[in-house]
Amino acid sequence: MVKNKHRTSRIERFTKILCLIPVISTVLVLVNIILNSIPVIKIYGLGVLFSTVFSNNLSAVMIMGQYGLLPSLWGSVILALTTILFAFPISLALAIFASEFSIKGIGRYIEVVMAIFSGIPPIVYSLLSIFIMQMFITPKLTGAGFPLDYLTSLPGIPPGNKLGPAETSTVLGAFVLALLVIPFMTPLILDAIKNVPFGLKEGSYGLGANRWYTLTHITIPAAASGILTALSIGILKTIGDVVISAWTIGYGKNGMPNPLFDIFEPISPLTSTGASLMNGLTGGARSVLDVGQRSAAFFAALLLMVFAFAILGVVSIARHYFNRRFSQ
Amino acid sequence: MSTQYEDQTLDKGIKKEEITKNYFPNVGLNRILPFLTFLVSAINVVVGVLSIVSLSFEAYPVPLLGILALLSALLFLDIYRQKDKWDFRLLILAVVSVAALLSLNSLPILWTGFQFNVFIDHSVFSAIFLLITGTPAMMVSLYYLLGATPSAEDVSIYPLILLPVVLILTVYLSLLVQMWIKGGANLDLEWITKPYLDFQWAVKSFIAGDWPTWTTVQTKQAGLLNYLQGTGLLMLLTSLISLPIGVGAGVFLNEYGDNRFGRTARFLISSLRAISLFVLGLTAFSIVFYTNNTPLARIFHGFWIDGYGIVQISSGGSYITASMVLSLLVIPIITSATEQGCHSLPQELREGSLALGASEDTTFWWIILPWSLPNIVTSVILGCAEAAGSVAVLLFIADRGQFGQVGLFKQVTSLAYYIFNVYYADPAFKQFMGGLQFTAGILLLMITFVLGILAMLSKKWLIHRYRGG
Repeated sequence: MVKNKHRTSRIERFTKILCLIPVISTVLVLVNIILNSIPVIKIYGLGVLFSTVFSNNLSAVMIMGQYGLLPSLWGSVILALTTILFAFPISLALAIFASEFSIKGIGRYIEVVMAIFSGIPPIVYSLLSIFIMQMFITPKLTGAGFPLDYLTSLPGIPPGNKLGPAETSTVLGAFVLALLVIPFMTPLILDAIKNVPFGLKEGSYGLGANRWYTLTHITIPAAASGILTALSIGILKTIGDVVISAWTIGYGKNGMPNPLFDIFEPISPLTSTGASLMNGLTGGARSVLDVGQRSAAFFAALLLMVFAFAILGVVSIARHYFNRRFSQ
Repeated sequence: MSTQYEDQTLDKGIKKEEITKNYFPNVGLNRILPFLTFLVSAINVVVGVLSIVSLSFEAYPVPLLGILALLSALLFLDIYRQKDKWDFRLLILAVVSVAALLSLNSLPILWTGFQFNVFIDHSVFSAIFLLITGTPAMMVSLYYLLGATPSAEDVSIYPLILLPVVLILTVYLSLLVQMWIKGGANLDLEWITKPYLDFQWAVKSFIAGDWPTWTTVQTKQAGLLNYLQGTGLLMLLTSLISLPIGVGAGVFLNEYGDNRFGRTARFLISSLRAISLFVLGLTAFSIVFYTNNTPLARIFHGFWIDGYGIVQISSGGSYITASMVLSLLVIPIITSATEQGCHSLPQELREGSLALGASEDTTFWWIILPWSLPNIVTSVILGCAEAAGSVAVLLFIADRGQFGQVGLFKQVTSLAYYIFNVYYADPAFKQFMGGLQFTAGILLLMITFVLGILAMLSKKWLIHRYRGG
């Protein structure tokens, strides 16, 4: 709009006030998290928070002050890695199929289906996780159908350290989160592929390259920054999810997993650990009385926020590199 | 012409037999082996996919891998006979197939090791090996089956692209079908038209003079009505709060946001989407926590009037608190959509409006807003769907809604929270209301699907109406 420097219009003043509301509330949200996470640092110190010993009131024995969040931080990292390992190739294949390799306009239907699927709430996916449990996890990974004597006599792992038929694991959470994340990543990758300038592809075809060569050597490098954005959205959605991780992985991990990348063990991420610290899983937050425990949950949220902003920073640097590398 | 051609080639010392061989290749015989390899590798892939979900295909992987190894080795030699070059992809494929066969034979029925917390079934390994060998074999054999041209290479990529697509769509479809099988039975009017009630109502009937009978329908009643109403109220309130704020912020950021304040505001609003839902849940809890024992408690906690006529403050948060925090989730969606809509407004329309003497306000109401209306409506509908399905924000303030009351200042509950709550609830509640879990899931899915389709259709219609197609 044509701007008058000496006079602000009515619309400008009005919309500025409306714009201030979410800005101020964002600042308040951040300040609230930071202020509330100070008490636990004051009471227990940072060393306790980064230890590997954790106990909450869902543990067998609740010991106050053992809020080591290092296992949960590692759980968030490993959950994000596993989910992206499942979700990224599939959404890349979906996007490539819908844009470059679609047969007679099926790609349009995939766009529509993904747009509708992206509205499915996480709680429905966690409800559906029981079917994945029944179809894959229980028959394939728990040794169901074999007597317990036989299972405990197997060499390799000590008895009592084995995935029972009713227990959960990080793999299940990663499967379900991948189902959640794929409809969000696919349209973004599709947009990135579609926004590659047609002249680049045309030049490649003109020089005699086939579609596959053009895709791998021209289109995907040129769309790399958009694909990275999709990747970051996927990671942020994965580490920020509460419901699926609480439902499929569990409450809080005491001690690091024994092989560090043991994805078959339930390694709860920061979100579900924080939710269990707030008693959110069982009876609502009304019964939280201990200041330290409540504050530990806020500290988990703070760690999560720092983690998210770190990922955003890394991705923006990488996008800058790719933009400089692949654009004239 | 033909004589001239023969003369030229004979000059270069190429034998006449070779020319005839190149011009009349023995198509039928040369393509039998690629076709057989393609067939066997397709069977490998199908058996591999079936082995993921079934235990009854354990007899097939070893012979299939053996046949595949044999065929790819033969094809390797045959390609040398035809083309006079070694295609080492096929050799690697044969070696990998033999290695997979040998390791499948040596693996136990249940694999444990490296202190992993798991027993991996034999069929998981056979599925992995069959898929790892079958898909590339399918690609290479399709390449030679179609004549080893560059466009044949394009077609030979299809197995690699189609396999994950078909797999994931099958997974989605089968999960939804399973959900329908499990929850569709309870999907009738009886459960949807009754609210969930707890014993509070029995006390009320006692005060009125009736003797409370604890086991009658009046004391305990299962139903989803209050959860449905709560979801609807949350959607309505959230869209009412977030619509003006989101649209205003989006218009401001696009029209007047090209300065330091605008950039900061854009960063802060977009970071609302980046921070976790858990953070917003803690924010909702903080609102309730800070207004505890203050006059604001009635608004932010919610209240009800018990059987004695006394106002009771509920312990969680009210619908207004929940929708305030949920609108923080929805505002960034509406803001960015409005910003995109305003940004796509052609400069000519804006200048034409100003040139005809319209004021800035008139331009805003009659040019900018109608143009960005498709984006705004779509984002509001999608935000509604997000508000309906969000549990994490309500996690610390919601309750079961056992008094069956829904209103602005009542304790918040929703379908999504009910589904989550059943999982962690006490056995009595689980036994009483647990059967309706999948029905509630289907209702939630219906709401989100209808809203998603509505968003798409309304965007199409509004673009046709306000942007001229």
